[in-house]
Amino acid sequence: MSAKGDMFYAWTTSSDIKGECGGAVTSFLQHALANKMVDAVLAVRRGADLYDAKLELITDPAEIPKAAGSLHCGTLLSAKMVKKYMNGANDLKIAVPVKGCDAMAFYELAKRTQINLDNVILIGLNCGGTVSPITARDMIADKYEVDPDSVFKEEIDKGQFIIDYNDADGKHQHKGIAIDKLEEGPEGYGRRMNCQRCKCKIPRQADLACGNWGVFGEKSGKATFVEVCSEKGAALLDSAVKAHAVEVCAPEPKGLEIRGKVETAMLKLGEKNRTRQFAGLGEGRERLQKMMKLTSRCIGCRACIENCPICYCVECSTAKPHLIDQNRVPPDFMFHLIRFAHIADSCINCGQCQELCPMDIPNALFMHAQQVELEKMFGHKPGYTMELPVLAFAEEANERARLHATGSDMIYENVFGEEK
Amino acid sequence: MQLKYVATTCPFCGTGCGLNLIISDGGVVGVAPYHRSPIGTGKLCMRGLHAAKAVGKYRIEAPTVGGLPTDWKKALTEALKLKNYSGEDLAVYTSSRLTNEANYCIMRFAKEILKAGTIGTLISGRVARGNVRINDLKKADVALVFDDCMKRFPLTGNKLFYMQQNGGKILYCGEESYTAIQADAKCIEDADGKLVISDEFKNILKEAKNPVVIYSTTGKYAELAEETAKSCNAKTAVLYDTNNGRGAAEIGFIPSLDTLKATEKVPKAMLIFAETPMFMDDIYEELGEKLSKVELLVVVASNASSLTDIANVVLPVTSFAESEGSYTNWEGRVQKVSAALTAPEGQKSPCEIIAELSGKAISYKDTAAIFADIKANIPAFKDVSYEQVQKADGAFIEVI
Repeated sequence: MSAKGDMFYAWTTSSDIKGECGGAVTSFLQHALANKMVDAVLAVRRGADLYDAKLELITDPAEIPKAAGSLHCGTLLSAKMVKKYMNGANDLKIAVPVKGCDAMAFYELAKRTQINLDNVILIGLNCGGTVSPITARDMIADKYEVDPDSVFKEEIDKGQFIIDYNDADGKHQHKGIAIDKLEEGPEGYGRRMNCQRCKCKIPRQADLACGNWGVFGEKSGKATFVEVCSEKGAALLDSAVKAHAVEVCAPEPKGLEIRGKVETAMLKLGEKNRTRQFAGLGEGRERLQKMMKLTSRCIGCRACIENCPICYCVECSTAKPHLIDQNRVPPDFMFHLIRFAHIADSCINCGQCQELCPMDIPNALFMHAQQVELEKMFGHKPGYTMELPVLAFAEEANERARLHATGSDMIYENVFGEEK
Repeated sequence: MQLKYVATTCPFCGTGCGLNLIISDGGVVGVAPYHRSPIGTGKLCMRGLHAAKAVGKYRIEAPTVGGLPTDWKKALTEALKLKNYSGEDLAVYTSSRLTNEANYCIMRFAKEILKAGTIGTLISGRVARGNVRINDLKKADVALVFDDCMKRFPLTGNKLFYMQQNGGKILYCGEESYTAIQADAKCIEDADGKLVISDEFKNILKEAKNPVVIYSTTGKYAELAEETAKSCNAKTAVLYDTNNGRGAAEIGFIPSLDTLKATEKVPKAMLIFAETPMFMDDIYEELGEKLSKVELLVVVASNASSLTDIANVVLPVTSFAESEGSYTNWEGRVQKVSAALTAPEGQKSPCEIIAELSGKAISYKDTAAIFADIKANIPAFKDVSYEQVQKADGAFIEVI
């Protein structure tokens, strides 16, 4: 029997699963579905080509091996989809493979009672960062001097973004360039800016945290490193082992050391990138002016709100005419101030508000820069535990009723319901 | 429960962003970003974000004649009375929102069978072709933008932020607007609505290495923009308000709304393929009085509107996302449109309706067959590969 904190090398026993690093993740998902531990798996599938990732709800276990292992161009955020289109998993049990940002988003939405985590099994995937599809294609054409359509495999390994492709003569070629080299340039190549700042590389918030870091020795390339992170994760692992869906062995001590080193190096790089990117914003008045200038590109489309895993209010304050003139474009800076005030304490740096902003406002950079300051001030670290930030104490409908009953619009007045 | 993504092209403006429709249990429930779109890279404006609503709720369930529901056979017989009219008495108007394939079938029917005197689209503006690609806007060094194009076409407009970041300058001409706020320099029209482009602007354009003039076919200053581009030797990005305005123009439909509004001599019979998808504005409302004078008004539509209210014959048609094909965006990129949904029972696609009306004279086995015919007969499409159109990057109708 396994327990939280245990670590294993695990690999699939199925010949149908062609996982690159042992295929344990695919096996866990398939096992959970086949044994009715879940009703469905929300998986990432390859769409038009290698650069296109899409979400799909899979209910047939035989379909699971067709889901993509990992696509570095998959910059999707699955948690908000579960909230919006699957009723927050309230009446459906699902298993979901998650990157760090996905796992954090699940936690933040669960805190706000928008997702029922009891019905969700999170299979964490180590993530060194993602690259937006079109950036990846431009970068491959420009820096690798390779036709993006000839690439059949991409990976991020040992600090490099590596592609496998067929050259003009049809010969298999392999080419890697150091990520920091790619990210240094003015073109904006490499991983998404928020991924560069990320410090959630092994998502231990999930039930199992899986990846290839630390698989050393004879199992190298043939097994997945699995860290058990919860009782739910332990139960899934034990069940899959018992049913011979996966086999496991103890990790090599040297492997543990390597995994630790990879993670530490990634975290250091994340910190370095935070320092660099936040410094670019300047400080004080300069920072404010920069934010005001860039947010004046806003067209008020609300894509940032629609895609934010923290935003869930039915009645958004930014849509209230007495706070924001709804006909003015660009909207008043107050639009952005409301967003900052309401969600900056809980920003998990998933990057969606920036990646999906039609006018390319660096929203995530602004929000994340504030979150790290708020974390220093109040000690609240979003996305890792179920601890509530002050603003999440309230259920919206109840809170509005409470406010209404006070006859005042003072949000903090009598917030703990004490007798007057 | 079922949930999957179907990648398609946005049904709103002529920029042509890709988007994923989220299909759950047979219906469109929302829109998810399609990061692989070479134009939008997953980003969408307020219109694209709500494309799920474009299918429309007020579907016409059955064909009608004289306002009363009937069967297809009777309705088609009644519609074919259009053949009793010809030349100036007969007009065929299509929607520049339909696919290239649908519009090609409609064009053939209007020309070959009905021999209609007027064949057009019910939009204003002019037919014009730019000579720059959307992503090349990022590499321009000066962009002269007319009207409020950055706001009207957000995912075209945002390329100018990349240009600015690369050291390029945005010049603006028009009313005070969103674009004026983003611009590095501007010429604002005076209180009488008069606009004079400064000599300084012209000199900047003339001296630039890679200047581009950006305007919309329906813009107030379209003509002025065209002249300025010519005199300053700048490239042009000509933007279309509708998702397939450029495609409809290439197939030969003339924007006819302004002519129809102005004329006293309204054709006696009309076949109108109405706007589909469902939009907030009923563009036919202001034409109501004029159109009610038409002797025989046959309308093909998916949703009820003021137009279907006054039609003699209404034929229900599939809506956006219910039939496949392609759109041509403003830069001439032909992109795939997917059939993400099954049409409600009793609805036919525009091509099926044309097949019926033409007694199978204009009938194809599939979309690929229509496309092959377009390729053979419409010069702009002669080098477009159908296979390439199916891919994420689409295919260009002409090499610039």
